[in-house]
Amino acid sequence: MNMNKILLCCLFTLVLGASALAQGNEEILIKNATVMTASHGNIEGGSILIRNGKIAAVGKDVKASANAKVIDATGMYVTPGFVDSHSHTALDGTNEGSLSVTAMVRMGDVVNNTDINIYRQLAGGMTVIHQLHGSANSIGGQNSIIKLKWGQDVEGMRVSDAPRTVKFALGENPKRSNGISLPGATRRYPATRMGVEETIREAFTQGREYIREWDEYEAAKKRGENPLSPRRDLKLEAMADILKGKMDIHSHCYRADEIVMLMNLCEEFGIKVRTLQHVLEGYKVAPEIAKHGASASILPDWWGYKMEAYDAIPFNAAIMTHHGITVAIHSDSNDPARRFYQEAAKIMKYGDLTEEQALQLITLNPAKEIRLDHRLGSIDVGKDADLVIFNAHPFSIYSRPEMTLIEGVTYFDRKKDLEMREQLVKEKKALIEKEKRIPGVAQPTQAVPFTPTWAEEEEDGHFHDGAPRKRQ
Amino acid sequence: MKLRKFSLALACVLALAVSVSLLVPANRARAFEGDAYAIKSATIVTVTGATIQKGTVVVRNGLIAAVGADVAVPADARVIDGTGLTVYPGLFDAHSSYGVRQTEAPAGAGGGRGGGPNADPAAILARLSAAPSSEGLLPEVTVVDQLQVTTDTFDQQRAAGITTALTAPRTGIFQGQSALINLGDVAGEKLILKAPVSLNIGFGGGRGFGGGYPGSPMGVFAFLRQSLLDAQHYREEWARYNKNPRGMARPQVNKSSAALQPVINGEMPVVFSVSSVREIERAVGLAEEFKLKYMLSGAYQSYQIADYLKSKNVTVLLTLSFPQKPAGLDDPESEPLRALRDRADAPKAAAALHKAGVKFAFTSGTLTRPSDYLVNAARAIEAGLPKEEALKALTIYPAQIFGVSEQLGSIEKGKIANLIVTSGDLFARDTKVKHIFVDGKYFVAKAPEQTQRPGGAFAGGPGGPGGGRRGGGGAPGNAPPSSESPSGDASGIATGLWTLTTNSSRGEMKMTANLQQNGGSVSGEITLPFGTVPITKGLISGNEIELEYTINTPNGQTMNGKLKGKIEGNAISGQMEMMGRNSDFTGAKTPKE
Repeated sequence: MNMNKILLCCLFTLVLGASALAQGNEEILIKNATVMTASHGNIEGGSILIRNGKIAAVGKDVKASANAKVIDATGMYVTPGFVDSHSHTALDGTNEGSLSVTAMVRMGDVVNNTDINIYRQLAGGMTVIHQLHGSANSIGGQNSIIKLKWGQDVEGMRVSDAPRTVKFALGENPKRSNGISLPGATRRYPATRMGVEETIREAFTQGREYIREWDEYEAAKKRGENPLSPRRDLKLEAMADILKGKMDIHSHCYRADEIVMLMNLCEEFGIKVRTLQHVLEGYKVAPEIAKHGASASILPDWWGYKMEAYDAIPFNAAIMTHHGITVAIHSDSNDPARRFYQEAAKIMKYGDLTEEQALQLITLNPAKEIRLDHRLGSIDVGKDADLVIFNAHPFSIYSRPEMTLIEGVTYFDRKKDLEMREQLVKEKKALIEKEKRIPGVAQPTQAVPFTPTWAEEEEDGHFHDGAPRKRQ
Repeated sequence: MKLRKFSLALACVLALAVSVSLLVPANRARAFEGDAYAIKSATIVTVTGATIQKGTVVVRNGLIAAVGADVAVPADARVIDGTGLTVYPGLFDAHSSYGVRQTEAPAGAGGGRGGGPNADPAAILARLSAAPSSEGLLPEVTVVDQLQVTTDTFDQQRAAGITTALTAPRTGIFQGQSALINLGDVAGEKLILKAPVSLNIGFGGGRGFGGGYPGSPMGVFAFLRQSLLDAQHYREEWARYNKNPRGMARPQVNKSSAALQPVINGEMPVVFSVSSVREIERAVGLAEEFKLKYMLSGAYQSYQIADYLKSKNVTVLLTLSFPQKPAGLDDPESEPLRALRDRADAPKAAAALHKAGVKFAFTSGTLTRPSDYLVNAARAIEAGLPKEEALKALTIYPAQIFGVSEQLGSIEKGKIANLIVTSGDLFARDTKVKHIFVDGKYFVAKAPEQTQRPGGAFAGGPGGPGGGRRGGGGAPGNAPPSSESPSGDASGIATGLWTLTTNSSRGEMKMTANLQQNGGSVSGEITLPFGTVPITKGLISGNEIELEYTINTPNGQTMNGKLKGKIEGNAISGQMEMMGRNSDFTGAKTPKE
């Protein structure tokens, strides 16, 4: 029975995307809900007016025009759409693990807008994901930020004014202590935490040299000379942009010592770490993190799955929050990403965060980490109408999202979804029957057109950033 | 001793040369070059002009000398009575790897070509961990240098009515500069119509497991971008130097950047091999970023985005290899709906492109049997493509796309005599190709074999050396001495050290298996890139062998693997299952010292 349910999930998703028409211009009024703004408390019996995909008004007393589409949310809860600051969803690759520094690769090149997990996460209220490169190397690739506008093409999903970010990684993953290595083969440098630091320092130094090279070229041009332009090197160009503060560092890390190391190293080069990802021992060095100004993006309660994860505690988020650090919860996996609100609820148990602080862990705070809090992360006038309507309090284990809107467009509607299932089952049956009648089709004489998936990498938990999720 | 070996080799070479030049089997290729032919009383589908109901085509000196209803049969012509038959132009396959020599795995340490795998396990390990080759990363590689054509190389293609093809390897990122060739039976150079035609690029061509950079899809894009940027810089560097060389340090020559000049200057088109919509969009994005002239090849999902392709004014070399139901699917319900939809809709792509006004030609894509080419073209017609358009997409459209419409693509006087004579309508299921002309040379259609490997057989590979099924391909002197007696060994046919190669989506992987057969069971160990592990279960029945093993990684993951194959002499081939994925493997036993 469970299997059937999963299959259904695979099925119904396709049509809905197409039905999420690009309305946007119409007025929508969500009325009589408990509005959890994530910025200025809850509004009982509150309404939200959406116009042109933006939140036009929020409050108890909101007037809409006569032809506004009304969603009666009596008894329901509305939250901002969730933001995952660390996701590997909807990508055709995870790691370019061949070299220790691969700042030239861009996850934005391999976005897979047909990944079924987009829809599954929408059904859990997720609206924006920060798609990170994996953690196989000290400096990984450039990340991508998309909205989960299921059914749209890749360009339609991209967040156009998103900042550029890059993945760093410290500790066991980049030094490959958990990896499987070829017998007799030379191992990729670095193999120690000292080596990781040296690798990053070397890359920074090269980046600084690259900036100097180009500065000299520009200066020579200004002097009226006819110099040959330096070779454009995409890796060093990325390093230069990091040093110029044009690209934010989001670094995978676990241990207190390496956290402090990276912050010191960045300060030495006059830059800051934007977000420490996972940061399991962040609670040990919370004052230092706060002083540096980094934010933290964490796994709420995963530990013990490798040596460097032994000292994790579930109070990490609360402790860092009390030190004034911006803290977010991230999924790092397709699974918790579907029930993100429950991940946030855990922090109310482990620590003494308020309900709003807990909600901010999956809304406003991750939005800040990716510098999009001017348009995402809370229910405030002027922000994107990325909203989730829950049937009950989102921190209750019995609640579920009924609708998920992005920029005023409904991309998930539980009611429609249920209606569609029957029709999709019918379609599937018909296609299976039809295929039986086509002569020759059933014989696997031809190879299926080749599409690279790199699925093996995804199955290697250790290549991912956090915990190996696929526990049996 | 040495002299004897040499004279033996010489004799072999001579014998082979003689057999190629003189002993052409009568049932296949009767070489009457320079002779004249006349096909009379046939229906002639000219493609570009009206169809002639009862007409004659005269072929002379490789060209179409005359065509029409009232054409006289020359006295010296060999006559084919075309009563009840139909003449079509020979068909194009707009993207294939026909006639391309299969490159062997990078040699690495030791082991000469064709000399069999190296016996020393240490050397095998050394090869496993050797620096990755640059194969698939060099835009300067040309297909012309890799053509390897023997008399029977294109038997299957000709039998399927295909007489012209764009050809290039299908692996790697830079897959080679392609060539347009006629599918005759003479040396490769004589078959070339045009080369280079395009630079072929694939996105699946990362270097695979442990192979070095780029090893991921995003790495492939970074690599391509950097290559193109380097070519631009190279152009600037040399332009600046050539303008005023005196007193200036000479730039360094770089073969790859030099080869990319016509590409970045928009003179040589890029053919991107793509499948899905998102791959198509990525190719278009890259081409626009660097202002490349380009075409798409494969693109089976283009049925979803025909209007988009029209808006980009892009030419599509559309695959006739439709997605297939996965083999061994127990429960049809277990497939996602999207896979079913994809299979149902893929044949509609041609009709969609036609309707949107996108220029396209057909390719065989990943079809392994050329005889499926027309069968699937018929399915495209059933799915809504007008029959005349299907014919054009096999003839005059590709000729136009590749700039050879003055020479090929229709039956007109003065064009190259690439013709096929069929028993009836080209797309009818029971129609047979009866006669074929390539460059005016006559071929009788040979009944297609049941299976054929794409791009020719492995020289000295499975089937055993000295078996001579294909006479050693075109590589005389390559065959290793067959001194060892592989079977009949008391210890069993599985016993020995095997080297195995598998191709997964991530590229090639090498393994070794040290096996000991004891009756119906097999024990031993297998060495994978992950380490050496014991065989947990090994069975052999006849020549069918099944091996299982388990790998425990240091971080506690468990991976089960399975090999299932057939042993034939010193060769083994079959299916490998690893991490829930299937791939084919081939291998050979290391000869005993």
